[in-house]
Amino acid sequence: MDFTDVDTKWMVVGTNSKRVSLYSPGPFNRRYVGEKGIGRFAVDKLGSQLLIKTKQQGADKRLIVHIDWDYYEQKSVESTDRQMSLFTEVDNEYHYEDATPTDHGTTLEITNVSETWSSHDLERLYKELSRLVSPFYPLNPPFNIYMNSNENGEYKMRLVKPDPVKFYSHHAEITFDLERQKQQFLRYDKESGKILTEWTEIKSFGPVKFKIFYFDEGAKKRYNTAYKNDDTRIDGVKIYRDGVITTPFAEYHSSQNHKRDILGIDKRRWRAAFDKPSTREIIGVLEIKQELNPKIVDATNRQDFIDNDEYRQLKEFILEQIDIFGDVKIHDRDLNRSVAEMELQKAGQEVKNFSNAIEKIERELIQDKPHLKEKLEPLKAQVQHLSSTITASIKEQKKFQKDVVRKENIYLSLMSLQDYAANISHAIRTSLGKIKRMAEFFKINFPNSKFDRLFIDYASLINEEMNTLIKVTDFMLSYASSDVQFEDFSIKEMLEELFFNAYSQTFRTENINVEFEFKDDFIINGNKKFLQDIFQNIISNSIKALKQRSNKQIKCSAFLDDNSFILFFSDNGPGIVKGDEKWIFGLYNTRTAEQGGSGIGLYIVEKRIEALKGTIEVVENEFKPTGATFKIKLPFNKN
Amino acid sequence: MESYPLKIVVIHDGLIPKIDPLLVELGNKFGEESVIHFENSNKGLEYVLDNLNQKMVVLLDINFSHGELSGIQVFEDIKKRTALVYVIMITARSLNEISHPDLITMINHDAMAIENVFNYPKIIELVEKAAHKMETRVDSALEQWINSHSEADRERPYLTTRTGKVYTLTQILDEIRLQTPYGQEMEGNILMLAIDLLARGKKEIND
Repeated sequence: MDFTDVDTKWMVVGTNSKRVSLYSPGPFNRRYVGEKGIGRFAVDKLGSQLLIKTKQQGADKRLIVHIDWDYYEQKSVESTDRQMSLFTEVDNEYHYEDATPTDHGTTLEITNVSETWSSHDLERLYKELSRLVSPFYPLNPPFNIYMNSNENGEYKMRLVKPDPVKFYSHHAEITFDLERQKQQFLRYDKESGKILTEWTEIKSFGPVKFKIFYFDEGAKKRYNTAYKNDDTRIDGVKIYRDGVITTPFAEYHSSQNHKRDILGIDKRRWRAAFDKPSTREIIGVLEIKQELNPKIVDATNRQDFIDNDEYRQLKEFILEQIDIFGDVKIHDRDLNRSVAEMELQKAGQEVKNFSNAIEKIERELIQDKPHLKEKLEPLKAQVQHLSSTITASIKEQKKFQKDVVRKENIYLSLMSLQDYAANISHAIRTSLGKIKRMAEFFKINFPNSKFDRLFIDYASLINEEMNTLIKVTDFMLSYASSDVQFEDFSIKEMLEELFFNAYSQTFRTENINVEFEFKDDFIINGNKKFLQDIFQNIISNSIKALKQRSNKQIKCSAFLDDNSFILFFSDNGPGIVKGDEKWIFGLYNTRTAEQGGSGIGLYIVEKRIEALKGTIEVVENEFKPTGATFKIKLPFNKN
Repeated sequence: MESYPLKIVVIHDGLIPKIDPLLVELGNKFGEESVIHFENSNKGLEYVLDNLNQKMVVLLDINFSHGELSGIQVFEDIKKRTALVYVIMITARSLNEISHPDLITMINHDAMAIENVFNYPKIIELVEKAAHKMETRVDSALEQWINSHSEADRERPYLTTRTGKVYTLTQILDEIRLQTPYGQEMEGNILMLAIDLLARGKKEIND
């Protein structure tokens, strides 16, 4: 900078708006950042005295400007209208020093620091500064930061360097090709268990480069040993724009739990997906450019990006790419498991071979040598013992695995039970609310002939609401009762039971023709009653809907697709009124109030299916011209 | 012109249609025709936004069925358009079940109260309070004054702005109720003028 720069730019607010060029002059060609032009004033938060030492290349003197923020403070207090004086109104001291002509650059020296800087604070600053510039796409000429402290000997013009990424177990990266207008993305190959890259169209948010380093258990252990358990270094994905970090990610939090997770990487894990990688297993560097990704814009408070379609898609893209490592995680775990199992089986086989060999020796070589035979006996016993131990181990191993799966399933179900309980208690409270209001009305107004009609209505409504409450608690009890346990059961068998036993009599008397088409079966580990209720509800709805029909049909079909078990359930009743497809799942929403419908059945059906992480929806009816078809989707459990 | 009657718009899907004690008591207190009940939040919001030139108190539930706007969304949409409608949130939930961001939204955008739907006498009290507040507001005072004029006077050009736009008395009232920039400016001016007159002793209270 020269004197004019300091006078007309450095000390004036909002100079960025005056820029004509987007880039600083060569050889730097750096993109100007900061839209408001006020960031530089933040130095007064650090200390009250600032010395700007600056010199342009070729100039023979160095300009020294001394800024005393206390003086500004004092002036603003003194001024009668309490209005802060303009910066330009204050004359700052300055002078020139001799300097070597080839020297150039600017130093900001902050003194009278307002807070104590412990070595911990300095270390933290170092760590944050080390993340400022992308470790993989460094700026050229380099952007070097030196930290200098007169009190702490460790920081004597110390160059701030980005952390090298070491000890990771898996790594992948993607780039783009502007000429062909293509973006690379990662794909997990199930067969080989490897991560591959493929090309696709450039996305709405523009082309990006992305490097991901994944740390599995072993890698994390190595990492923690090397860095003395400082795992704040593995901290998720950071976004760099034109080589410089975007602000939301630069924020430091000493506690992992308070870290910002604006990309929503960790949030998903609690929702169910335990196999998704967390921010503590990943270091990711995503590179964007102002020109190529103009729609990714920092929010004014610098806490996130502006929420638009492009940013949402970018977030989704990032999550998709990270999830690839989740698949790798599962693959590696399965591999480890089967390796252990295979080793055990191999050992078992070898022991068997050994035992056979001993028997052979016994038969062929030492039949008539009793002293040798005696010596062989303990060996034989040992082999037998070993063999049975190994067999037991294999059994144990298998049992353990099954147990793990079962425990995970229970855990998932318990988590969703919480949601389920919250929803049901809302239903109960709504009913109680109605009853309480009616009871209160009695208390306040009875007797009053003006309301006689209402009193009668309320009495019967209170009775009805009580019945609703009994129904709701029955539903809850069917899940909570102690005799109901988690078990493996076949959905096909469960439905056959319902269709051909429980309901067969009703179907016959109602003259309903039943079609049952199961291409595949699906074994579920869970509460059988819980699922049975779902189908009982749907079946009884259909029976009601078919009351007035002459040619009555119910059809239930099921098959497996890649990720889930899909069930279709149809009847040829009057169908669901257009526009009601979502509404019918709402609490107390019913179009059959006259026939005693309370609007609870489908509400509970949906909540239960959601609790199983599945979905239910009304799709186009299978039977023409009228009818209703429900599609139920149950996702596979992760193993 | 009849004074715009106060409308009490109840947007709630957990009430007994037509005869819920809350609706009956509101009808008793404020006149049956003043109480309008919507079970569907989308329709309720539509009604409120179409009738912003009326005096309105909205009683709003927080949870709605799938495919409908949530109570918070309805609340935000109303407050985006006007600050003159009083919104009382009524819910079957307990306060600690409402998410923090939702609570913050309600406080920051001036929800008048949050009350449990169990407690209907309390809700009626709140509506009475809102109705009273409303009566003492600039737009209501102005309405009363306008009503003392003949219909012809009310529709006659009354004010010309610096930009040359002409307003009748009825239009000025609408601008204030709809909280347009002109309406907001006008509201401020009327209050300033009233205070000015009082201060100079040109007018006394109860005069």
